Order: sequence, then structure tokens, then C-alpha cells
Amino acid sequence: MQPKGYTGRILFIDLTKQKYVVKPLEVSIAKQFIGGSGLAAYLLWNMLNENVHPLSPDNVLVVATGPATGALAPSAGRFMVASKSPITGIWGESHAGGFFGPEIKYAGYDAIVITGRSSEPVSLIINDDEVTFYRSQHLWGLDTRTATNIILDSLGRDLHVMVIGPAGENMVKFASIMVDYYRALGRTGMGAVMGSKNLKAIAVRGSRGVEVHNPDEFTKVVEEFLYINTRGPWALPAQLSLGKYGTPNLVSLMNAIGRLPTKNHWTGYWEHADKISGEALLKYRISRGSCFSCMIMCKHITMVGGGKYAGTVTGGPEYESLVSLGSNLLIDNAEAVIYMNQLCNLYGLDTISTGKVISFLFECYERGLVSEEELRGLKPTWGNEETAIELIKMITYRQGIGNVLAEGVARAARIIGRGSEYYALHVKGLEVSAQDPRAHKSVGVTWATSVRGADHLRSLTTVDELGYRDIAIERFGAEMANEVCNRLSEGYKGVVVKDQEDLFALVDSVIMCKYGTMWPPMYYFDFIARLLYPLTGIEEFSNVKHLREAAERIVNLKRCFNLREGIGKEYETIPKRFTSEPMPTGPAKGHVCNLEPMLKEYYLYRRWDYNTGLPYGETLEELGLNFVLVELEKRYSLPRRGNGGSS
Amino acid sequence: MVLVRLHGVIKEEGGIGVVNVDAKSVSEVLHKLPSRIKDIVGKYIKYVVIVVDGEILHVNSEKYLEGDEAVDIFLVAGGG
Repeated sequence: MQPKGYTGRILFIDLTKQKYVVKPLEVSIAKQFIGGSGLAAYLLWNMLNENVHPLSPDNVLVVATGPATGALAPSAGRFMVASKSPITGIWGESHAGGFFGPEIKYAGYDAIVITGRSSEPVSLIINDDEVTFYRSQHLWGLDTRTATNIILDSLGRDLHVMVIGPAGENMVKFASIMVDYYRALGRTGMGAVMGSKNLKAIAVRGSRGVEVHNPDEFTKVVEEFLYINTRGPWALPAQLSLGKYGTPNLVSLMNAIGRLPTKNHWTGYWEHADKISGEALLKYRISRGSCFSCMIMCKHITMVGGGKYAGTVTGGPEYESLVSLGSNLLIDNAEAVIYMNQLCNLYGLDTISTGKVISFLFECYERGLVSEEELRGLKPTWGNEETAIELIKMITYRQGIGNVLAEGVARAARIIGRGSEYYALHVKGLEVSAQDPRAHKSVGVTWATSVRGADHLRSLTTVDELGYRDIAIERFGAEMANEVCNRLSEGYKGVVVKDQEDLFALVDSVIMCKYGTMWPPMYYFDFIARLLYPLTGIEEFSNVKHLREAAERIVNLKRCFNLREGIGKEYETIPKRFTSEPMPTGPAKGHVCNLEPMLKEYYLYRRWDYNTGLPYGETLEELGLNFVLVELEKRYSLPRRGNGGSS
Repeated sequence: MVLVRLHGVIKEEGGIGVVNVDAKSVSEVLHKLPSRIKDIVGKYIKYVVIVVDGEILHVNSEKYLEGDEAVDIFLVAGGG
């Protein structure tokens, strides 16, 4: 019987032949990989191999929803894209909120799988069962807002649109995709993958609904969620901090605990943080909105009404963008940061990677590692907003030193050389996010092990961020709670990160928002189980053990995807700045991140071999990943628990 | 005198961002806040985060304050 929640259909589109076909979603695959990120992992494992270049027509772009998407479950409006990443060459994925995801479901698809390359610029217009290859030469070269406007004006304002800007067209390795103007599929260069396929946009309109297995029971659980969201213990702080100020609210708090990346992550404390804080940004806010079925409403639209940057209107900036383009560059002019955020969104650039490649250049300049000849008159000095703005344009259009930075910080450092590699802050090629593992130790193991590179959204833990003892006791037991809650201790952080990574693998597959699961830590495995069974009718989903296993399966499959690409344990480290340079100032002064003990513990709980980083053969067998094991054994001699493996 | 910095809704509702308090512990700081601020902090006490020079302390903490510390009072938040 076809489960509910899902549409049971996957749309496969071949851009080379301009053909499409709909295939069924197998129930057994849904049971094992849930949907969203897990389904994408299954599809990409089977459709790709290590010989496929990320920017070749052979790469595959998956746009996926989860069973909860569009079904009125709380905070379940998100969707994701996945592909082999052009910036890292390994697993790439990015998620966005809004209303695009539900529209895919309403058009009748759980996922869209895009292969090939169009011979000319094209957009995909999806109206329920009808797919149109819309010639888009007139859109090529346009920024994301203008292109979206033209699509909506020409084809109907009820469409939802994801589109790339000039950065994606120019295959900047960290190009983003913008969704309905203000939401970004930011990380891992998914915009460059679209650009390489000559795919400017995807627009979707759907007229169907999402069927629910047991509407009465589902409604009951949803009402319980709503009660927790509005009257539960976390409801008020969620509304008064995240809702009222949005993610920028974190700037002051992170600064107070010494975890605010400043000056290319040189330190974690900045005296000017209040100038780019949530409170400072409040006066620019013109609108507050939500994603589909969300009550937190953290999405803010900001506008600069006067001065040098008058007329700037942008979604956010979110915390990560504020830090990457603000404190990280020592730019304390909030209006300049808002403007840079807008530029990134219009050009289609990931704000995190953009900020980090610029701060890398600033530091290289300060240390005399780039020549005046390479800079051609640019003055990349700390706090220089004009230069930062110019660099955003140069990166987008691959001009001068911008062409080097457009390759991402790892490649840029290899091109520049002269010891600049030390200041290129990345893991596996992805620029680090806006945390600091010297001030929040578990971030070290999060960054090192994250499947897409240095990343806060695969396993960032908040139980230790401010120390939620009740949650720590509930999840890890009273004996571990004190150590778990200490963000400046490495103790038990391997197990905490493993647990969070599993939770997020499930959340990213269901798909729900990190707000409600990461922070506030309201929803855990048990709650998701209670939601999924009445939604889908898949009995296994009512079993927390099954969901935990599915989450581990997804984590392992993605890791094996990277292992197939030759990226294993030797890449699971963090930049030396965090392991050997004691934090120079602020509340975490003197701290470094001692990664290895956390990593060792993480591997132990993952059932992977510490020496090689490879999963034990038994681990893959127990997770039902025999098809993965067979392929990996062509490349590696997988350890066995009783055969010399160590943990 | 301990420098107390107020953030977010506490600052907004209180209409003031910084106060100086003569106190030797966090609990004393909270007790000696100006009455309007004290009421606001009291209203949100379950959700208040106290950070003293980077260290998160409980609202009832009796840890001795030298007097040159900065005490930040937030409403709880988190994530990235």
C-alpha cells in the first residue's frame, strides 16, 4: 500500500534531451531513508561515482522534500537540494525554508532529479504533471531578484521560484540558489551546479494536497506541537529572542561567551559587536514573516532607508551572514553589512563562504602574502567596506583576484601559496561557519566530521552552548550531564555530537526546521516518531529505534559517499588556528580545541575504526547498507571488529 | 561597582542598556537592580541567562564578584 505523506512520485528530468519521466518512490526506500536528505543520499549514491566531475553534465542535482513537507506539521516547510559539491568535490547539500518545498509536494513530487546539461539557458516550469523547458537566454546574466520578477510577471505570480544569479552562471564554487527572493540554498555551491547545467531557474505550481494516514491522530499530535510552541516552557524565549530579533539576536550572546568569530576567526570577542547585533538591526526591519506552517517567524526583511546604502532591501541578514560579513571583516557599519548581504543574495553567493574568502584575503594582505600586482590597486584592509563590496562583485564576475577567491578559500590558498594556507579556514574545502571551537569545544568535532565540510547544520549542539542541564540529563544521564553542559570541556562531546548528527539526519529527511530541534531543543526522536506514523501509516516510523537506525544509515551512507571520493579520516581535522593558537582575547582567552579525544569518542559511538576512519563491515551490514559495502570494498579493505580494527 | 549590561527585550522593555550595581554576587546584582529593571528580569527569570566575563552563572549564584566584572543579562537563545 502506498504510504501517505509522500506523493510516491519522483520526477526525473534530462536537460540534455529535454525529456522527463515520473518514477515511483519505492516504499522500502522511504522506510529506510525517510525522504529529503536521506532520499537524496540514496539517489546520489546510486547515480554518481567517483569519476563524475561536479560541474560536468554527468553530475546530478536532487531537489527533495520529506514526508512532513507541506502537511501542516509544525516548521515543516523546508526542502533541500543535493549534488556532488563543486567546492569540496564530495557530498553537497543545502536547505531552505519558505513555501517552495510544499509547492513541490502539491505538484505531486517527493523529489526532482535533474541530469544532463541544456545546450542553452533554460528554466524548468513545473505545473503539476506538466514540465516545460522554458528558454531563458533573456534571463541569463540577470540578478536573482530581476530574474524572479520576470518569471513571475510572465508566467504567474502564484509560482514559487528558485533561481541562480550571475555567480552561479559563472560557476563560482560557492554560488547559492535564491528561493522566492529572500531564502537561500547557500552552502556547498549548488548554484554552480545549476549554472553548469545552463539551468537558470525552477518554478513550481501545484494544485494537489498531501494525504494523511490518520487525520484525527495527526491533528492531535500537531495540536500538541502547537501547544508546545505557544505555551510550552520554550515558547516565550523562542518568541522573544528568535521571533522578535531573528537569528541576529545571537550576536551579542555569542560575543558574551567569546564565540563570535572576529577578524578571520583570529579571536572570538569584538568590542563593536553591539553595532551589528539583533537590537541594532531592529530599526531596519520592515517586515517579519514565517515559513510555511511555522509559528516562530524568525524571517526578517530589512531595508536601509537613507545614506550611502539607501534602497537596500534584503532578507536577513541572518546571524551567520552578519558575522561572516561583519565581525569577521571588522566591518561595524550595519548598513554596509546589510548591503553586502543583499549583493550576495542578488548575485547568488553564499554569504558565509563569501565573507570567509574575503577575510582570508584581508589577512593575507596584512601579513604581506599577496602582492600589489595581484591586487591591482585594491586595499584589502580590515574594516574596509568599500573593498569588501568591490570584492563581492569581482568574485561574482571572476575578475582579477576575485577569480582566485571564486574558487573557494582552499583552492585560493593553493594558488596564492607563500604560507597563506594557514589562514585559509576550511574543512574538506568548505569555509568554516560562524562558531569557534576554542570557545565551544564540540564545534571542533562537528566541523571535522561533518559530511559537507566545516558546517554548523549537520551536528551543532546547543545543549552545551549555554548548558541545558535538564536536557542533558534526559538525553545522556545525570552522570554525564555536568561535563556535557560545559562548552569549554572536551568531555563527552564525541557522543553528544554523534547524537545530534543522528537527530539532524532525521530532521533533514523528514524535513523539519532546526529551530525547534537544534534550538530550542524541544523536539527529539520520540516526538518525530509520534508525528510520522499518523502522517504516513508506516508502522516502523512509530518506533524510535527504527528512526534512530534510519538516521545512522543516512549518516553512514553520506560518509561512504565521501569515502568513495577518497575523502576519509585524513581530512577530518580543523584548521590549526583553532588547535594551536590559544584564543587571544575575550572570555575564552587561552583556550584551544583539543580535537583528538572527541574524535576518538565520536568514532567509537559511530562504530567506525579510529585508525582508518572506515566503518566496520559489520556496521554497514547491521544498517542494511550491504550494497554500499560491496562497492566500498572495491576500494578499501574494510576493517572487521574482530580482525584488528580499533576504536 | 559591577557593570550590568542588559540585552534584547530586557533592554527594550526597561529602556536602558547599562546600569552599575554595588553587589558582590549575581544574586545580589539581581536583587539590587533598579526596581523597573528588577521587575522585568523577574518576569523572565526562568529564561534569563547571566554571563559574567564569559562564564554562565545561575541566577542564584553566590560566586564572589570583585567589582570589575561585566555582567550581561540576556534572554536565552542559541544555535547558529
